[in-house]
Amino acid sequence: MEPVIIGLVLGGMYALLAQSFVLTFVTTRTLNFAVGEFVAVGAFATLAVASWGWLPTVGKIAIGVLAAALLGALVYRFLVLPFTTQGEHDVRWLLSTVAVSFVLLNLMNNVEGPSPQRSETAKLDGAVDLLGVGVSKQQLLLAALALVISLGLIAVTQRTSIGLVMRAVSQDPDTTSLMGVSPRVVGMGSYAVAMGLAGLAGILYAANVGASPVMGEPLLVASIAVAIVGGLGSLWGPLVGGALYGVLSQVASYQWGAVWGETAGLLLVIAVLVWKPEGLLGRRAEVKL
Amino acid sequence: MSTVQQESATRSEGPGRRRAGGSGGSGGTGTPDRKQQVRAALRRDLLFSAAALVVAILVILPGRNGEGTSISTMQLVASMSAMVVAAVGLNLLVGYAKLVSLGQGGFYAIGAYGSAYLTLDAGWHPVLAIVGALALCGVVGAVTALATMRMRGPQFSVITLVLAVLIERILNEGNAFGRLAGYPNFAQHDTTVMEPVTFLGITFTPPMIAGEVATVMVPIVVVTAIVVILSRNIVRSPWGASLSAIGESEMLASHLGVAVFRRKVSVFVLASVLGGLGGVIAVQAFGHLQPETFDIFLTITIVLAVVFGGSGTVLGPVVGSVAIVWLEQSDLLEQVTDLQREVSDSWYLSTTGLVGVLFLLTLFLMPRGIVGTLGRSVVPRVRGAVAGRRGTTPTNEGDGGLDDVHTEDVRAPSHPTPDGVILSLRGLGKAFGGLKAVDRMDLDVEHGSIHAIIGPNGAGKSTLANLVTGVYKPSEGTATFLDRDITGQAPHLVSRAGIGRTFQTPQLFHDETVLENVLAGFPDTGRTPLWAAALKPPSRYRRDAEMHAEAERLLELVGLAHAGDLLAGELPYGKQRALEIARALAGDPSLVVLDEPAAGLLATETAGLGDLLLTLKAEGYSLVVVEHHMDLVSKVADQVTCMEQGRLLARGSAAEVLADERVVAAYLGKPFDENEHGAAPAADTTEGDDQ
Amino acid sequence: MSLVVEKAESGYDRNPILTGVSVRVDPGELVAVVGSNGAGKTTLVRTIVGQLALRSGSVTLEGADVSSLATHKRAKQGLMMVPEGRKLFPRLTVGENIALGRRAAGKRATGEDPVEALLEAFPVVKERWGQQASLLSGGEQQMVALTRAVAARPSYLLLDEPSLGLSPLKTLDVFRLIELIRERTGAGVLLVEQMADQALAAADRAYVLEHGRISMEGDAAELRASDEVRRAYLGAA
Repeated sequence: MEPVIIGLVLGGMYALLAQSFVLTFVTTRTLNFAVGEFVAVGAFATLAVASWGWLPTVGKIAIGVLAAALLGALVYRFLVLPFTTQGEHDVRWLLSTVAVSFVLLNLMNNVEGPSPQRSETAKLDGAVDLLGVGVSKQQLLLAALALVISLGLIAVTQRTSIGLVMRAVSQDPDTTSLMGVSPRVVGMGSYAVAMGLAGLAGILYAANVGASPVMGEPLLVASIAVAIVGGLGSLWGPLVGGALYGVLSQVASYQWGAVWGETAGLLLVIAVLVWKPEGLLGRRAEVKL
Repeated sequence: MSTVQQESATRSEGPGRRRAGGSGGSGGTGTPDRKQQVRAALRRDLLFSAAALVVAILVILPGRNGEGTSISTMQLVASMSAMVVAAVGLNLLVGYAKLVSLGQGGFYAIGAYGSAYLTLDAGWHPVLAIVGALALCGVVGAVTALATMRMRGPQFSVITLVLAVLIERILNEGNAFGRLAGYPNFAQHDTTVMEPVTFLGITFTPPMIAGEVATVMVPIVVVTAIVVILSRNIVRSPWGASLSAIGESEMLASHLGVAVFRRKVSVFVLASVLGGLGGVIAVQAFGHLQPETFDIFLTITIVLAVVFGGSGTVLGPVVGSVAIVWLEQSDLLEQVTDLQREVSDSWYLSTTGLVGVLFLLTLFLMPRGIVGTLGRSVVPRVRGAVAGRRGTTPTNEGDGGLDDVHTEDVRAPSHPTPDGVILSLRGLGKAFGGLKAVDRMDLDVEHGSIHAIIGPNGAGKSTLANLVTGVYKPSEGTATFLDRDITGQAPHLVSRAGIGRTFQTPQLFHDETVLENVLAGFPDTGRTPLWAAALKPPSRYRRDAEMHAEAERLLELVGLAHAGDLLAGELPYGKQRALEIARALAGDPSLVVLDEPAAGLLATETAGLGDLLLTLKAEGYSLVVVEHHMDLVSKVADQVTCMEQGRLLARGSAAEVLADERVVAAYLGKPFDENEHGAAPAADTTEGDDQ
Repeated sequence: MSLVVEKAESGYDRNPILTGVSVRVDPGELVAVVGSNGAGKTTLVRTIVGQLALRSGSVTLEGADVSSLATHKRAKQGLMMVPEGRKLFPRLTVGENIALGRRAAGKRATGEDPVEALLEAFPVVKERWGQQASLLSGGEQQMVALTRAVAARPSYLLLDEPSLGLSPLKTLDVFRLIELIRERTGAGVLLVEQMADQALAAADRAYVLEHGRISMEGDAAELRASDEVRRAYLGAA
């Protein structure tokens, strides 16, 4: 039972990051390979204001989230958008976000140093008992947030006018602009929200492992895997993928050791993709002639 | 009426040379020219190969005496060679098949660690170990390819990245590889350096000790040169054209007779083996491996080398690799770092960050890479010169296209088909979800006839065409072509069986020239084996020249004789349709399925199209034409089938069907009047306003 | 107060298509642009809405120069285009597609809703309201695309090849709908059509576009009767 519970909780954290992949993918057809660094940016920005006694904790977290969100919007506008202009085969954005990841990682390494720094801003002490398994409140918070935020995003896209616009942009950006909507603004908006989410995950995660430039890297592969397993086109995907990936990798590492945990998770990705290339909840792209 | 003769240098050979000989042996400019073409191509290839080998030998000349000072140079050359080989492999995937793999570093690692492990721990002979490691790369590549076959774009990239990360983890955390101590290490092997390979009595010493000649450099640079030469042969062959086709559209590639699935696996395996070969070169040159050097940075650097040099070009990955390795090993980047530190001691970028910036700058300033950008600025001028010599200016305005067809250029299909029914559909049906797009249709197409399919939008006409050509698998019924069951067969098999097609929206390779588009239509694209593409036997030269001549004849046939050097994407719509027909004919079909060939055509072009279709029929082609233009249908069709809601509504001669009450009610709106010569269908907006 | 295109030059990188085109549409007027393939008809409408950049010349809307505005801003000012191939959002419902049009109307949404009249005349759109747009037939899609554009309360409506790929019967319907739109909205309509005969029959004025230039212009009926047009575009012998 224990690995299952822990797995679900861990999966929640991956799901939060996976949600940021899905969000940028549905609106802009791009993924930000620098998400791992945005996790660290959020953590460091909050750390930088941690000593401001007058600012309540929520404010400090907000600053971290906003820093990541703002940087995300800028990265989209200047380093992603210009590399998406040559149609669906254009994957230059993929290379440019990888480059952004190199630059940010290197910069943070030089500025902050490679070793983790304690970050207590968003720390919840103690653990709760969940079906006989002790789970740290911190991790539970992350998982709960992932769930709440996912449901919130789903409600927004299905029920609101903004959501309608988002769905329209995801299907045909050019025609959306004929409807008086700027796809560029929608893209920047979704990058801001997505990277804000990554920053939030970073702030909460840093309370566990400390803030460091490479803190996001181990999360990156897992959360991309989760997003792909669930299906990049579906906001429900990360929840399903996160649960599956989290439980499987925990059970495997419980049984055979840590290396196998991750390996099992990645093999799951390959297995799912062989079976359903569009992910469990994804939509198959139709060939139109 | 439509074959208006235009005086021009290229045209003069037009009408006079029709059907001058047997299969494919007559087009173009005659046999002496053909021989010259072959010789010129051979000369170019030999020159390139010689140049590659000379460069390879020149770069290792400084190490011929084994002087201590030359060691670093030789190591640099070895690093470059390893990167070149891996990047050339990756370029086949990224640059041609447009599969952006981020996993090449993983195969590099497998090649390096695999060959070292098989030698040291498994006790294989080093040469055997190298072969074994490359085979392992091939197997892992094949498995990955099979797993990712149905993916494209970001999904594919992510999976390959995941693979590279997984391999890195295993190397970092697997005890067998000594973890951080590297491989080999004292604890396991009592040494940190591998023994040099001895083969056929020669010992291949790595560039490490002053005074010893680094003999291993010879095979390293020779292998590198051979890899570059063979990759050039491959990408310039029909096999390479099939990769570009896959990169543009897998569905289209499959209609050109390419077994897309198999070819993607082959190219991925080939790229993987070359990635592994890069790793093998690294081991042979340095004798020791550290797991942390096989990280994401490595795999991305290989991608950078391809993009920086110019993906989709022969020399791009070579130039890119040399430049990147030189940049990383020189102290240039360190100097840039120091310069920044004068300004701020914490906010600066060092090597990885600077490589990232370089990557971004490349994408902004030279999206086609060094070679691609230079090539672009040179090639158009060359093309202009060629056109000038021919006395024609390539232009996309003006005449040509389907209102200028040269029906005398039509040649009969090379495999004459027997009289009688050649395509027979029985009870063919297709349901999408609950919707029956095609509902138990029967259809027979006679040899040498034109069968038109008409009907309202959504009646299932295009779906029927797609069922025949293999785009969709039918839910029921059978399709028989030339007594062969083709029900539910993949498009490449249908294409090979002798059914060509055009599409509702022209599917072309927009960034390639008109001539290249036609060349891609030849059966060679799907049938050339990899070995023949790589080694380029003499027969290939002859066939290339033959294909060229044939392609030019086909272009003249559809009125595009002047347009061969233009990019297909720059052609206006009507000429794109013409080009598609030429490409379909290049595939040497017995039956051609044309999906709304007249959509968007001008009245004069439609008339030319009609002439062309009638001539094709007269020469023995059988045609299925899905069409809305009743004037075209009534002019060319021997039989007309009108569909409605997936079912047969009426069938018979054009006159019968177009007068049928049900057809008028469901489709035409009012009876078709043959005397009305409109480009428009026989209908008008305002009643009574007509004439 | 009109939609005025003045000496427009535009096109693609290596392929300039329009070389100085001037076109004018007055409120309530139906203006046709006919011409051969590759003459630049689609380029013209794409340039007017800003999907292609002007190299020189100008586009003015009700007296204001909109040449440098982004596409979505021109749309907000009442310049709507129904693109070639309909371009409905395939996985949104018919209702959602039209809701997006309504959203674009913004403050211009005053007075009687013209959509209601269209739905009444062509009930098929209403019948399909909750269905995914991709499941509609080509003719139905064109109806929805036109309705979507009308929902945005356009002051000028650009129609790019509305009959492309439609059966003769459905083409009739589309032209009837265009008539109705003109009647109900008072918008100026620029109709770009391959089916020259029908377009000229429906239009008040017309332009003939050849090789990126206007070669003829004037009263639509006169052009339709002229020998040159009949020979080149109506296929008359």
